[in-house]
Amino acid sequence: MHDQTLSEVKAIIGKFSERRDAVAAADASTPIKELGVSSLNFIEMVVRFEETFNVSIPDDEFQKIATIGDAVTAILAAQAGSAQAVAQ
Amino acid sequence: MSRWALILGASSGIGRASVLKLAADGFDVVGVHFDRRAAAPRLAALRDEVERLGRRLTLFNTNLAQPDNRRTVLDQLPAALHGSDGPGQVHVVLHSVAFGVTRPLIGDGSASEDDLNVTCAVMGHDVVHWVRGLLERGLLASPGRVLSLTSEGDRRAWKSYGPVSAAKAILESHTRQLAIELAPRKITVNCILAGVTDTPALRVIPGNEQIAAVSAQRNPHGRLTTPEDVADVVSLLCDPRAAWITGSIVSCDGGESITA
Repeated sequence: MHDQTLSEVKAIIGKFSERRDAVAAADASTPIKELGVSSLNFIEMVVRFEETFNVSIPDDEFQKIATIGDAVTAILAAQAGSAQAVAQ
Repeated sequence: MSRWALILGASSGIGRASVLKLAADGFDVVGVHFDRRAAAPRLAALRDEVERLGRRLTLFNTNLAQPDNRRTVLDQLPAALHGSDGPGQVHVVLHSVAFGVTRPLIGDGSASEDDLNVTCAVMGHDVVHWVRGLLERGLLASPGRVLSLTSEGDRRAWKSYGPVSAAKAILESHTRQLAIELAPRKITVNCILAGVTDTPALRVIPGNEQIAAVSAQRNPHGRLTTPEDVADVVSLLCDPRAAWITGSIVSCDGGESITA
């Protein structure tokens, strides 16, 4: 897992969480919904991921985001996808 | 002079169909939506379609659950409505925002206090705040139209639909009240009761496949309502001849709700 991305993702989740202490203690395997992020805030949180990392997360990857690690994986995959697109 | 429609929830479902319908009717459109970046190609295609119809589409991507975002859009509207023929006004407001929680009221996984409040705020009270914000800025035209969307879930109890059902009851109440208060300005206010419609908003409701199957079977036309069916009624209610229809809950369901 990419440590810096993980830490930035956790910082963003912290802004949407009702349980910031739990976010600080969470690791990649922690489900985001267990951190007090409501379903209504979930989309805004992912929009914030996209803005922060300047990526577009495809719908199928978005549907798979359950844990913090899933979010990091989706962001890294989107970054790799954009880098590949630029290289082409 | 340009006629503008402000469509809240413009990027999909009934809102999107109404963008196209009203553009075909000669309206320029300001659309507010809330989407991830993956929606960009779909929105570009929508803009292309509107421009092919010879009209303009200005989009704001923002989360209307945050009241500050509504105020930001309202503050930017005068610039968005300003055309070659001078300052513009909004002739039609369509509130088609689906942003709420579909969870039970009791037990495991039930809606939280915040869930209930946000759902009622965005899908119930929000239309009042838009109308007030437009009037305060002199942006709501007279005569004008304020339209919103409800469902049969306003009076029937579908499992997990409780928070949205409450919001729809609020919305219908506001429809009647606003109709009275806006009548002196010749602004009509109506709420369209759409049958079960295949939209992204339906597909996030738990048990949506069963709801759709039952509705299609129950509907005397043997099918679900489409976004285009509803957009046609939006268009009808914007016709000058609809000026005496106000404070109404207008069914647009092919007879679904009256079928036993």
